[in-house]
Amino acid sequence: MAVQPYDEAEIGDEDKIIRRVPVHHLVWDENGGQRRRRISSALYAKSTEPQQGMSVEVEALMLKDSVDPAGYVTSDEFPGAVAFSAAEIRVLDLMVGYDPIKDDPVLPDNPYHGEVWRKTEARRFTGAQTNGLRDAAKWYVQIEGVELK
Amino acid sequence: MGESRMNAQPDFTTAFQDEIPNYRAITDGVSSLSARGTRIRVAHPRSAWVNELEKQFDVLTSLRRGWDGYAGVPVSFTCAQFAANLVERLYVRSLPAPQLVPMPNGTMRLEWHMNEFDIEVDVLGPYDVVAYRADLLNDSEDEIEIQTDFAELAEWVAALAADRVQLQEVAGG
Repeated sequence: MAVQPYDEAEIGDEDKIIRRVPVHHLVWDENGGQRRRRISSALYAKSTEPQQGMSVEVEALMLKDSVDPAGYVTSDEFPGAVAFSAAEIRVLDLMVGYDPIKDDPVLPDNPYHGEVWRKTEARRFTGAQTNGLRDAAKWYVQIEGVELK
Repeated sequence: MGESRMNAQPDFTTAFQDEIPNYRAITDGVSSLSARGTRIRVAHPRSAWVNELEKQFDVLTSLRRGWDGYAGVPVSFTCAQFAANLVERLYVRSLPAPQLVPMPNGTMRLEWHMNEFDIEVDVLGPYDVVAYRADLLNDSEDEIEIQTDFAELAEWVAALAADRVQLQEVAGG
């Protein structure tokens, strides 16, 4: 990660922040009397490196480049995506900023990549932050047969 | 209700994997995909859980970088090995195996969602575990950080086999 955690002023509170949903973050849940497929809360975890956060894409940047966001953020490996507003992230005492990926030896360039960070160095989001992200998340690209929570 | 048999190993085993050329330290999440002699092994006779999960452990340690659409790295061998031993230690015959969930930074999680409990066990490395449990019947949550004493986590897992509806009715809840 090249960017120090910060909150980007250009990202408006109403801007959509997208998080890809990989197949490995889908789990079975047998609570509530029925077996259903849903997103694991692991999707809303940050990297354990103290200054790293949770990867996202900033929809506005894709729209500005006339890129189809739904097509850009999905593939067979990550067939769905969820989204939050920047306000929903900030109200959890988190920051969201740009963190473009470029010239990585392995990863493709991603100029729309952003990051959600805690304001203080920590290994994890707090439980309230993780739960808040989970509760705020809405389908951006829905996976058939999978529930949000 | 629910028979439980705790796998009573006194200590966690060290890795008994095949000889691994160029073995890397825990902080390196990049697996040597070209040297696929890496296998997750548990030294003692294996439980049904570990047998069932062996292939999934191998899948998670072989994930390509970027598996999550971002910079996700495969689960480190060290983490997976410890998690496999933890699974062995927590085994309860009447319960299903945990679901294995990779984390982007090379760690992994064990999850159970049943019997009105959510249990999520983050294996951050050997003897570095954070376990979370939500009790959906009582609307309560607990989190514990574990280095060497896994007794409380074992109790949480054993409670997945309890007849909670009957217990709740008896208690008048």
